[in-house]
Amino acid sequence: MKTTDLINTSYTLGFHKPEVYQYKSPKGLSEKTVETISGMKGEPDWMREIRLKSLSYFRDKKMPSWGADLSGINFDDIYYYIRPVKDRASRWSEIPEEIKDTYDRIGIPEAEKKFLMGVSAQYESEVVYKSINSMLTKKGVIFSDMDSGLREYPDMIRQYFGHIISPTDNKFASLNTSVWSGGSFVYVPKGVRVELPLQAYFRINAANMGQFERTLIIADEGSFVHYVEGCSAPVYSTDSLHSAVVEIIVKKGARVRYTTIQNWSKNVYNLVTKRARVEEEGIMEWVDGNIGSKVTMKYPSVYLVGRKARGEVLSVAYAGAGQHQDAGGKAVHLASETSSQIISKSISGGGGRTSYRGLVEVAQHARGVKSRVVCDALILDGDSRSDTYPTMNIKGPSPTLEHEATVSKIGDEQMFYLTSRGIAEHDARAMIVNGFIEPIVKELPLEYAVELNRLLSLEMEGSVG
Amino acid sequence: MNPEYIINPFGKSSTREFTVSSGSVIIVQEPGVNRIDAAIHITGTNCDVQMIILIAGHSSDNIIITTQQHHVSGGSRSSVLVKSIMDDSSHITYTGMIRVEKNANRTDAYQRNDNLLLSESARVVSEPVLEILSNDLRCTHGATTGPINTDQVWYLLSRGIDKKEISGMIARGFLLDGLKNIDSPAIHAVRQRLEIL
Amino acid sequence: MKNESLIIKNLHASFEGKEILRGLDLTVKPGEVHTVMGPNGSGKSTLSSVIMGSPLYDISHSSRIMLGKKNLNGISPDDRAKLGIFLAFQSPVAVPGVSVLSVLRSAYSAIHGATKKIVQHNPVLSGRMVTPSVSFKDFLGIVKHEAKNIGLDESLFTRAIHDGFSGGERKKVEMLTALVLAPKIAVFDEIDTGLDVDALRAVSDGISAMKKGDTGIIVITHYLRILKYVKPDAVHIMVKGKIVQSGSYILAKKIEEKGYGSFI
Repeated sequence: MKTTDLINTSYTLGFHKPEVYQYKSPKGLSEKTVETISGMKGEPDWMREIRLKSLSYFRDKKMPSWGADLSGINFDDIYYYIRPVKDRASRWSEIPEEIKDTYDRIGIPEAEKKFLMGVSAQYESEVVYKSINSMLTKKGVIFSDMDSGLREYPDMIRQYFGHIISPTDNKFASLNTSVWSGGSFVYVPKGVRVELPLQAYFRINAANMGQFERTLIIADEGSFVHYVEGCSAPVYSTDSLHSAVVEIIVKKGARVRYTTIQNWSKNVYNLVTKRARVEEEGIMEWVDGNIGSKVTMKYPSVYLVGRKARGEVLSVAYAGAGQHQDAGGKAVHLASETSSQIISKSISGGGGRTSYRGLVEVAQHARGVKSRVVCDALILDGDSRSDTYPTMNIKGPSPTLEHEATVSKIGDEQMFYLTSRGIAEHDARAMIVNGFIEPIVKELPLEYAVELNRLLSLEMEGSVG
Repeated sequence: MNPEYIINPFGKSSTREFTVSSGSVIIVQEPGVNRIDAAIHITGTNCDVQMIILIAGHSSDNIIITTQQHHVSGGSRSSVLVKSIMDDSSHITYTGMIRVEKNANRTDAYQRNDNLLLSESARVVSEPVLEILSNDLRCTHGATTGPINTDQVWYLLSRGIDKKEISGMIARGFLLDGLKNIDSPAIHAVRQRLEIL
Repeated sequence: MKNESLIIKNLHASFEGKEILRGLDLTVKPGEVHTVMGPNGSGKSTLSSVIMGSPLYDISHSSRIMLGKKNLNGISPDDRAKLGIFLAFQSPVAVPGVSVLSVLRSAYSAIHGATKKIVQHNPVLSGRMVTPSVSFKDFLGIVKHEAKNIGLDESLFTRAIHDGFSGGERKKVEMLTALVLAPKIAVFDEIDTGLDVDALRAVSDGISAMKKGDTGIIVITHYLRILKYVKPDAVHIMVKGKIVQSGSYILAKKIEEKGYGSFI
């Protein structure tokens, strides 16, 4: 079986719809494109200026010299802004048929009814649908798309936008800040706990599309929220680019969990910057699943700025044929008694490549810091590759640090044990892989856990079958 | 098969390449170094290579250690252990690379770096790098850095040992522990020297 | 369904070029318990692995391992399990993250087939999965029942199989697996080592129950003590890859008194 067949048979979300749009920018990036995006959105001047400044940062900055091979990206061949509909809908029936059908097939309306407190669906560059449980609105929770957020809460956004991740942070953060569109704005007031997840779903439909959503989450003191995002795109022969920026503020005693199941088709470059600032006794948890995409570079970060703040990154990645998952996590301890844990599990098969890249940093004045990093990699066959690049940069006094990394293949003994119990070789392999990632899967909401296991079995059929 | 022992090959500072094609080699470096660049290339099957580097940092020492375990051919085992006790405002930067080439199957590579901080101004940078191009292998890396365990201190205090003595005792034990599974007259001498450190 | 006999004829097996089994013959009929004893290195564990079809060993062409009329040569371990062969491992390997229950359940479905299809639909990220499986409730009933019989704590069910288990827990989980899967032929490789008296009795009761269920059983052991609870139909002495003498329980007693000296 050819690789392309495998992709087409295993990727069930690869269908595409005829393009519908109100506006489509010309290919390539220019001041004019940026001004048009800002103008169509009716943004305040300060935002337009940030965008234009970021465009010049983007031009000045070099492509990262480390990590995955990004030479396939042609910035001139990308559509930076596609506006699919005139207005976003808050009722399902208001969405154009083509788009509605897409989300029906993905299952969004059903999920909303059963599992979620709010849904936001982004199609191309714009959020086309959003809804939030009325009970949450009464408690003062804001869950909206970023564009509406900017119109309705300009002061709050101005206070934080680009402050957690500066437009100069890296080339792709500059790019996002320059052409961002869509994404979510979430605010959870003091002491409010949002018990069911908020869900955002990102869909790229057009070919050669660049999706640059921008998300800002503010969890006020003592609050809790779980935000979940899912991603998919059709299978095209040309590449698309997804380059998001996610900024999170976890205030004193608050807790935020951010879960991503990334299942982009294997023609998407997925280059995302995610960072959280965690204040005193706050907790930030990133749960990050990377199954799809051609290339992913993503290292969710926690900046622990308050005493006893805690950060966790749980990351699972699968790289099959033609994929490179360069993922990991970053913990920066800027205050005393802060703690962090990064657990990464990666699987490479069918010639795929996974890399763990991580950083633990302890500032000079941060005392009593604890950090634990565990990265385990499983390699399914001789054509695949796994690399581990953890870095620890310690300036603070006497921290307690642990780091463990293991790379191995599926053990012959384990295979013999399971097959001797009547389990077919292929199923036994899948069981071992599922067992391998179990510590992370158990942190997912049930439906996602089932889905992740299913996706992995599908991927493995493709790679080892 | 008697292992070959190489004791203190680095002196105070040096770059050394070891190519091992057969048998079992144990390389031990005692404290007193400030710069080591050691590469082990394994070109034979069924080789066992073990390298133990013991470091003691004082005053404003700036110690830099790099090791490379390079498995060119398969069926061999390598193990690198770097243990340091860091006092005063000494610094250590350790970079440990394991690279397993594509056809080096049945490799078992292990790398460990444990650092004991005896002073609040001591600093450690530990950077392991694993590059694995083979799938039939086991490769493990582990690193710990931390101050002296207060439970150990309490236990020894409760046995009546003087507080000033305890940290030295624990630190020596920490380094000696690195040699625990090795038995040879050559190592006995190293052990004795460490005991009076 | 009538159970079949296990017939081993002229079995030669080697590991990395070294011959370990050198022309071994053994026939086990349904409902019989055969004990294989022998000094260390006589090839007892190899025999159990080879019956199960371990890929580590090379089997000579003239060797025959038959289940009834079916020749098992060249049949993979999972297919052997489906045919009704079972091996309780001497030191079973841990499979991190995979629970006892999920191994049992997957094995049970693989061997005894689907009794009911469960359709799970995940609306969030699309996709339906059809899991052929026995009704979980019924299955759990079977497992709990058997676990109770051998005194195995239910808290082990959800733990990763053999991961950090004590010696006794491992043996009991292997015994539980045997009882749940109800094979035609079961090989117990040193199921009795490291067990206290209560655990030994529980495991022996398990073997007796399987015997009643018409399973043909091979008990590989160093010690006589399990034979006090499970009366064997035959005792075989294995030395250097061959069975050198067969007899009754009395033969085992003789070994206990005099050792293997006279056979070597």
